[in-house]
Amino acid sequence: MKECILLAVDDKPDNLYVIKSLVAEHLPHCRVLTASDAEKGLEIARAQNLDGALIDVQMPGISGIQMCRMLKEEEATANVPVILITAHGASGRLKAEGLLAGAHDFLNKPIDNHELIARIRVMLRVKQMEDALRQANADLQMQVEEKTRSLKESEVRFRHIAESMADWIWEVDNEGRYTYVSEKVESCLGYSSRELIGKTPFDLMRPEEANRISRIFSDLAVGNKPIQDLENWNLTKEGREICLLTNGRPLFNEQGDRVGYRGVDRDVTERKRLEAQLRQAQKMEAVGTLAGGIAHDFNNILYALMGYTDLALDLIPRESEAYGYLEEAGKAANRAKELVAQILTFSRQTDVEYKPFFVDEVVKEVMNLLRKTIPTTIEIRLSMAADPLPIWGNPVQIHQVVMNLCTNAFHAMREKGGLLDVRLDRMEVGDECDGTLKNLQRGKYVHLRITDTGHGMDEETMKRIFDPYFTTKPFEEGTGLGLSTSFGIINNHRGAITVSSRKDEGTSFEVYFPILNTEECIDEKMDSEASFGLHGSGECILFVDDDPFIVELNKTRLEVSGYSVVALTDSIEALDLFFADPDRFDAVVTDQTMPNLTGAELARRMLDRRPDLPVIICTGFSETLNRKSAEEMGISKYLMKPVAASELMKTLHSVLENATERKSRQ
Amino acid sequence: MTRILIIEDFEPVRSMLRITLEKAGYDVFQASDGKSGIDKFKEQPADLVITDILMPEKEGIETMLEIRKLAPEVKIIAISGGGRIPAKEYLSLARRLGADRTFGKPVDSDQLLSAITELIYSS
Repeated sequence: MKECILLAVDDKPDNLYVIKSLVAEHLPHCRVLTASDAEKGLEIARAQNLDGALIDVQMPGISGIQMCRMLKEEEATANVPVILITAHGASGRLKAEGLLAGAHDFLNKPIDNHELIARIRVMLRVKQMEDALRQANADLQMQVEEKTRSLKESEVRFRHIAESMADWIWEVDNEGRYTYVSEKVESCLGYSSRELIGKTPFDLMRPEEANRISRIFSDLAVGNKPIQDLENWNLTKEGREICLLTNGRPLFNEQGDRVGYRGVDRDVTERKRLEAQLRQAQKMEAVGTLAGGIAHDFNNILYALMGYTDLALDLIPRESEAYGYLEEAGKAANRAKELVAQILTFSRQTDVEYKPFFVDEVVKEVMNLLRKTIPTTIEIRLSMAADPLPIWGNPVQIHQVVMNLCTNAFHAMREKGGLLDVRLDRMEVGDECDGTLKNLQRGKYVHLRITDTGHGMDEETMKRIFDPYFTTKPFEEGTGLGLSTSFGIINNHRGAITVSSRKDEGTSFEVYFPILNTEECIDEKMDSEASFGLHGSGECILFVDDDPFIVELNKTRLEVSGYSVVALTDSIEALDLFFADPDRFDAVVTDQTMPNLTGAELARRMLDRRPDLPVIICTGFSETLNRKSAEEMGISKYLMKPVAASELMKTLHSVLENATERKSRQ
Repeated sequence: MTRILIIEDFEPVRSMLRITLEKAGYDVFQASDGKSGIDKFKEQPADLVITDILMPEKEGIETMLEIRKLAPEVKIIAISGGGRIPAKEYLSLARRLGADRTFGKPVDSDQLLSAITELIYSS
């Protein structure tokens, strides 16, 4: 049994002795501490964990009742049960006062031994039970506090999750009206949660989508089934289309009746867009691979067709009926040849030359062409930024893109007429851009918008317009390759194309190309303008460089500019060729550093034979030949590598002109 | 008479070319791949060789280089319809490696004939 500590307080030592002896005799597990007055008693009570106190009522100084009150008032001692010991014949009032002060029991003097022990036992039992009860209470209290705290924590946690996750939580009643929407909704749909309460999800959809989704929802609701990964298209407050992924479960009341649904919505627009883009890329790649594979066979077959057609045409008189038919067959074969080339274009199988040029000029050119061919029932409006819009690319292809988009617009308005509105300006693509533009590099772009007021198209058509071979046009009018080719070209130019359309209202295509740094470009333009008109007229040029690539490149450049070119990679061979017929060449362009025979040496030997021969020598920075020594040798011009095409053209043109002048003076 | 060897694996093109060239007055013989083309050339050298590039057995560029070794002065025209890589790239390679002229298929017959005339007369 647990040891108990009792306190006995009495101003008479005899009484204390009696109590102590009795307790020692009958309650061996109890220890009795004694005090001769209330103050000492209180001191002990504060210091010890008492199981009970026996206090004499009549003491000098603080009375027993007062002491009892004081014990009860102090927190540390409040739980100590008290037996007050009163003189024989104590009044009821006194007892009442004692009970009010917090005493548990009374003992009358003279104390009966048995009664004392019995009363102490009761007191100890009560104390034990009270302690157990207090402990249980405290435990309960702690549990309640624990529960409350974790409840608060989880509430905060869920609120944080609800606020920080991209998804939002909703509840609807059996009519589908929102009864709760988490605040997150506003950042996606633009509506605040308050605005949505009372509305249904279908209020945010286009009618056809609302029909589709409400049908699915009703079917689920009939069986109290959960909503699982239901994709649905909604309009934001600003009218932007977004795709939501909805999941939800039915809500039941205590009687088991369904009272609505609760669930989560997630914005999956971006994912849908990327999926669509991926599908498009896969399609293009598939067509590209296929195209590469079939191009070879097709070109062979076409070659045979066209060759035999030519052979047949040679055999029959022009005026015969068959001649005309064969010509048509030849034309058809030619069309097929163009088609193969076109397939190769959007599958990136052709190498096109890129250069800086002005989109605005190309657009103007297309518009001029269109004005001549489009009927007057279609009004053409063109507005463009005042400053030039340079890009890096292939002007022929961009011409093709603009022409294709405008022709489509024209076809859409052919029956009823309308307005073709073409706008060209600059824009900045930044982090705030969404949709297709998100994939573009940040920076300045040329923004071309081609809008018609034609028959427009439905969503299904719009999804497929960039697919190869998809067309809504009659067979003889479209191959279904125009837009997919444009798509390929625009992608190759690191640009983007988007479309928006409404059935019977019209269509708008927007095209973006990264803009070129204007300063660089204006230089180029001046360059190209300066070299414009500097065409050769069949002069024969000998071009020598040991790098086959440079030879190849410049041969083409010079030939395109109207020169006849003999290009060689071996200077000795060049010298031999020159001596075979020294008057054959009108000018020589040579590299300086070459194995066997340097450009300077080559020039010296040629000039020995023909002092009037214009020679242009191209050299790198570190090379030994300088301008002065070159001039002393009689070399006409000395160019530093790398030599720009325009520079070479200008130089060549001027040396040839000088040579002609000299000749005419002689 | 000027002798022309045609190396081309696609029979319709090969025959069509033969007829076209014979009609233009050339002495034409033909092979259906690079390997047999080289054998034919060894048997009976030609003044000018027209070779396709993508062929089984031995492709055109290798064929062209071997023929050039056998007869450095022979004129070579390479033709190609492209394949995994664009025809232009095959042809530019052929040009760098010594083809005198190159054409992408389908070839305009008149252009081909005038190129042949030019090459024959320049030699």
